[in-house]
Amino acid sequence: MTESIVLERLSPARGDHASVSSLIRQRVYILPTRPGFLLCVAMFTMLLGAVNYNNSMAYILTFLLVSVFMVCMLHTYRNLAGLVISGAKVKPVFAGEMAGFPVIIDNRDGTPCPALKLVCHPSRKAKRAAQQSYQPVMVNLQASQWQQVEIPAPTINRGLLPLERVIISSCFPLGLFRAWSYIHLEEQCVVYPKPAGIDQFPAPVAAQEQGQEGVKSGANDFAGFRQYHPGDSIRNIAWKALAREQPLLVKRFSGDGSHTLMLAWEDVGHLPDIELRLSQLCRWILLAENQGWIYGLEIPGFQIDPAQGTLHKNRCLEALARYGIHHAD
Amino acid sequence: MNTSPQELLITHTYKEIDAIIAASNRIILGKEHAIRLALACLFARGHLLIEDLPGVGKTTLSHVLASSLGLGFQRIQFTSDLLPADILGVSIYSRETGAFSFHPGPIFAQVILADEINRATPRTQSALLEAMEEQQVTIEGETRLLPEPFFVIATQNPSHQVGTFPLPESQLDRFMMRIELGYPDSGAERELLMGSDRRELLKHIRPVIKPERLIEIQHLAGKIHASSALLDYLQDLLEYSRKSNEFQNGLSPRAGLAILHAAKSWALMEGHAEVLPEDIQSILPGVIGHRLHSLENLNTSSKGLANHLIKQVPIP
Amino acid sequence: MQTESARSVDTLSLCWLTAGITLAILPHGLRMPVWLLPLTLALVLWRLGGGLKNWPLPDGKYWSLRILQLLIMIGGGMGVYISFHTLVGREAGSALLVLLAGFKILETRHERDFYIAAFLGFFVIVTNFFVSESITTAIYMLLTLLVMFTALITFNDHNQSLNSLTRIKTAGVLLLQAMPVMLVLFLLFPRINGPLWGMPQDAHAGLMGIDDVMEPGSISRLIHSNEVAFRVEFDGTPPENPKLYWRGPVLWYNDGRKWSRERVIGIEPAPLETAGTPVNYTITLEPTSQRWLFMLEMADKAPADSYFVNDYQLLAQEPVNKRIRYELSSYPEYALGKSNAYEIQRALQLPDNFHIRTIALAQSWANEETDAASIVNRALRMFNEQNFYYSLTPPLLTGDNVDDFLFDTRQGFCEHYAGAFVVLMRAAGIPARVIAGYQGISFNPVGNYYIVYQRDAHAWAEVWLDGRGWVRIDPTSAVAPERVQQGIAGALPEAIIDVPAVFGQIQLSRNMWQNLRNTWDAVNNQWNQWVISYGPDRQALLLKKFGMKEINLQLLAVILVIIAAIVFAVITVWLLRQYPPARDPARQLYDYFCRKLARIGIRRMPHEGPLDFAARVARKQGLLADIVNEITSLYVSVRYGSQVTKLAALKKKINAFQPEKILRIKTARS
Repeated sequence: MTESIVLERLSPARGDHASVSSLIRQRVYILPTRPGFLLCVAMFTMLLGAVNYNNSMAYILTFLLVSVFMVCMLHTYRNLAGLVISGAKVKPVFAGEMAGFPVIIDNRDGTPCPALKLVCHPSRKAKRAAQQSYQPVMVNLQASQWQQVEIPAPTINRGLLPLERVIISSCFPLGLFRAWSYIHLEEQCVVYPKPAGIDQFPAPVAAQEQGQEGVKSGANDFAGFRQYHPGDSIRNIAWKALAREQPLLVKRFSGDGSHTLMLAWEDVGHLPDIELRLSQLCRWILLAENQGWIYGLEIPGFQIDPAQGTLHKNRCLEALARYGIHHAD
Repeated sequence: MNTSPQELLITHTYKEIDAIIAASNRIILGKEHAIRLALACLFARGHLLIEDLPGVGKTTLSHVLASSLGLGFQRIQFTSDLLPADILGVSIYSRETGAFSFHPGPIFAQVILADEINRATPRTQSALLEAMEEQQVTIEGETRLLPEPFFVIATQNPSHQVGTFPLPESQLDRFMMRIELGYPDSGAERELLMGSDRRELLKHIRPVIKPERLIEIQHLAGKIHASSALLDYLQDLLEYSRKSNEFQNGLSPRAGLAILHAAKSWALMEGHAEVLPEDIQSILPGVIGHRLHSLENLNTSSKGLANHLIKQVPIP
Repeated sequence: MQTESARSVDTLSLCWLTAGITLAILPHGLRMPVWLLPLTLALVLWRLGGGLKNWPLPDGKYWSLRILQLLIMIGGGMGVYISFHTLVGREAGSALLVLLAGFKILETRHERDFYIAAFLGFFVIVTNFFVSESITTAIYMLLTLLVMFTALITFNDHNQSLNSLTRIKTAGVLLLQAMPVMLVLFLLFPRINGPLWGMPQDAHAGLMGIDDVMEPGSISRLIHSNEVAFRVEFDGTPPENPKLYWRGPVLWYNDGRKWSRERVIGIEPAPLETAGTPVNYTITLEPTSQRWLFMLEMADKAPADSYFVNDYQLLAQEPVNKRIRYELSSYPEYALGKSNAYEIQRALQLPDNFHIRTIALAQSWANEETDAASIVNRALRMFNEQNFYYSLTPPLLTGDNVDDFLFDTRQGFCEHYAGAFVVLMRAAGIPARVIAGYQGISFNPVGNYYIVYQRDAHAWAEVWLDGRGWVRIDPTSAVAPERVQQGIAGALPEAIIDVPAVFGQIQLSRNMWQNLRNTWDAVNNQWNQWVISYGPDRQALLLKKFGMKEINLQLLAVILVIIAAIVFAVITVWLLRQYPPARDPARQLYDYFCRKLARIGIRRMPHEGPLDFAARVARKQGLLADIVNEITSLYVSVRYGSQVTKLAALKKKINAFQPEKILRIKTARS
């Protein structure tokens, strides 16, 4: 379980935060923006004018601006302070795609926090490697509302991509101050290998022992329809039924399991590079899933029996992504 | 204190329900909470899944419920060779009339005990579950309504037993509650060993209420007031389950509705005119046990998980 | 830090900004050359058209338009120079600023332009204050400021997640929360006297009031003016109306048409002998841009920064360009002056070849009468007994204005009578001079002070009587005694006093109108005292009230910083406190109930339902079971059963609930 981060507030937070797991306190920084500094100059000029003309209303206006400036700082600070930030499950992507790290921002105050800006702030090295700009994400939070946003980050290699430092900042309401804070979330995105390779499937294996009808429906004998459930092969959808405006149905077969594959490390042994091998296996898995095969995977350190379905596919792909990577957990 | 007709009705019903529970308690010893949950599920028009080892009284419980409510009862023993038609019924050509006549299957009863549902093939399982969901069956193009009230009690052996097809999660969602009976405590066990045969006792059960009355109770349960404060609490629970990283998937909107309906019935059974946070807390283990899974510790019991959820979410 | 100058300005923010700046510019429109405001508004409109209707704007795409823009810019600058003959100074500077704001709006594309334009808007607002500091201006500018802040908020609310009303509200909240610190800064910021550098020539423009030149019409033109000349606060009751002569400039020299003050020769004040009890009072004088201060005849001591001259005028060191306050004490009975040959000679001056008939008349009186006093009486009798009229609208005098008045028209205002009277006296050999000033007061019951309006302006005479000194003679009182008895209001036709026609003749509505005017003047007076004329003196006064007598700038600065810091800290704590979502009243009561139970050591867990909690309380403290159950069931039916009617009962029960007491009593009983 990842921890949540609460952005620190000057006043001690009330006990109600204690209800949600453990919270890491994180400091909020604040500095005037360039317009803020410019206003300081303007205010000083106005003060000179007020003193020179001894004009009370000019004094008042100047002091009003000064004090709005100060109050604005509090408002900007308050936009961030007290926010509770936590990560959520990261959807895996293929290498080269944009990873989206979901971040949940929870505003527990009775005041809205408009125009929060989140941007990935990677180390120099990662930035150089990515060669792509990190797009900021804008979030508007109403009072007592939470929202999930995805922070995009480019991926290059397969493996585990950790979420870099994220900067959350706000200039609301007047743009005279910018408050920001750094968020370190222990999130990582599983990056599957990029599907590639031109090899054909290895030879199918014979049916296994009885008692597995449930998982290997995929072949010949038509055995009726059932409702579609997420994870069913698209190939088996009864498109004709759909055309008749019936609900999404899936054709069911009772087969003998001749379409069973075992994708093994040896099958790609001829490829020169580990990454190329993984890419080939990745492509095969996607193909097999798409074509309704029942497939298993066998690579050093990981083996899975033949099966089918989105979950199975994801497990296979994750195994490829984690190949050769030692992870702490 | 002046009482409204609604409150009078609730008090009256509450007494009736107590009588049903008392009657059931005489036969199933030491399982009052399970009986209450089962009844709450029935009043909320949900279906019940009992998951436990064989021999702890699953069948007896369903029998007792059917008999004390005066409902028609059918038991279907699921096996791996059971076909959908065995449940739904078949049309057979009759020579005398020269036409097909429909022979309804066991599903056309008010209370169905689907025993060991995970022994049948997924195909047969889904035939039952689809009928359960829609309260009707379509056989050879003809739609037939199932009787009212209609209540399915499915039992399931723990999934690690051999030769089973565990119900997929999407199917599990169709059961309002999953309960576990567990072993009886020592006192109940002794009484069980000393007393007469349970099956004999079953024969002597007299119905406490009529089926029409049961439908009325179901209507009444639906009308129990759920204030916005309570809905806030329910939403907080749902939100926590979705937002927190402790669970594999958050609770679905369907789960939220199931909690609300079950809590309403529970409030009725407690004699409350309105749903209280306690009502939600009482039924929560039953409703979310089969929907929520811990990410970290797969072996956390449903009760532990529900208690954790309850402890984490303050009542607004 | 990240730069965001690339962010372009959205149309909605631009609309708010232009609205704010237009509001700031509009009041200038009345004072600026006629072409300036339309030109500026046209520039603003051009930009708005660009944003809303995609009109071509002067940027990289349309270089011809850029040239046009440049030409307008040069033309505008030259126009300002031609209109004001300068580019510096208050007026010309304001005009340039207005023009600049218009051009900045026109070229607003990116974030940076937006802020600069907004800050220029602030400057335009300030320049308005150099012209008017009235309450209405202040309120108007506050509204303008609100619009400007709304513009900034709109711009910073990137996705427009808030609706307009919320944005305006946020701006209002910012302004309100800024008020306390602003007040502290305003009151305690060390004030120094005088300008830091030379004031531009046009800092003080023409003001209306008593002049040191008197000719027919110069006082009666003030009669329609409801402007305040000065306000007076008396210690105790003021003297009656006929004694309320407010002495202003003393006019000696007659050139045949007008009376003027002559250069002051001696600054040695004439000796003054006083008798009776003095009247103490404080005057708040509106700016006159003249040096004389008004006083009730006759004050004995000059206030700070002022002095008496030989004809007993009270003169300030500097022209009165701001509202000032001074304290005086005056004696109603006095004898002024001593025989001074030079003065007597000046007081007998008459222009050659003027007032021939008048002089002839006076000389005939001098021959007939024996002493000066009877000549004075004879003149007054003439005004009183012959058909002289006191008139606001005397006929125009074309020839010799004294002769024509005395012998032909015989209708005149105080300046006619005073002027003619002094000429008569001088011709008869009696030294005499004209005194200009005000006569009478109006009470403002709302502010409990008195007002002297410009319409109270008056002129009278002083004659030298041997042995008595300079004696005040008011020839007007011989013609229209009510002028002096009841003040100008008694002598004027009703319509002159500023009661709008709608109020008609109904006394009640007239009174209401008068009340309203009094209130408004009282508010204005407070505003003047505490806001506009708040300066070093007032500040010292304020600090004295808090026991700080000797203050130097350093100390004041320290005090300012400390107090401002305290005030800001309070606002900070208040702002950064948690804003819990709005609570249900029943829930609040229940929390109170739980806190009461927590006092005896039973704490509700956050996830504990009310019934469970009640059961636990009953288990722990059986004695409380009944009352706790009762309260819980009430709470449950209010909060979960939505029976709002029971809320009152719940409140009563919970407020009366005292667990310690119940436990004590019940334990004692058993």
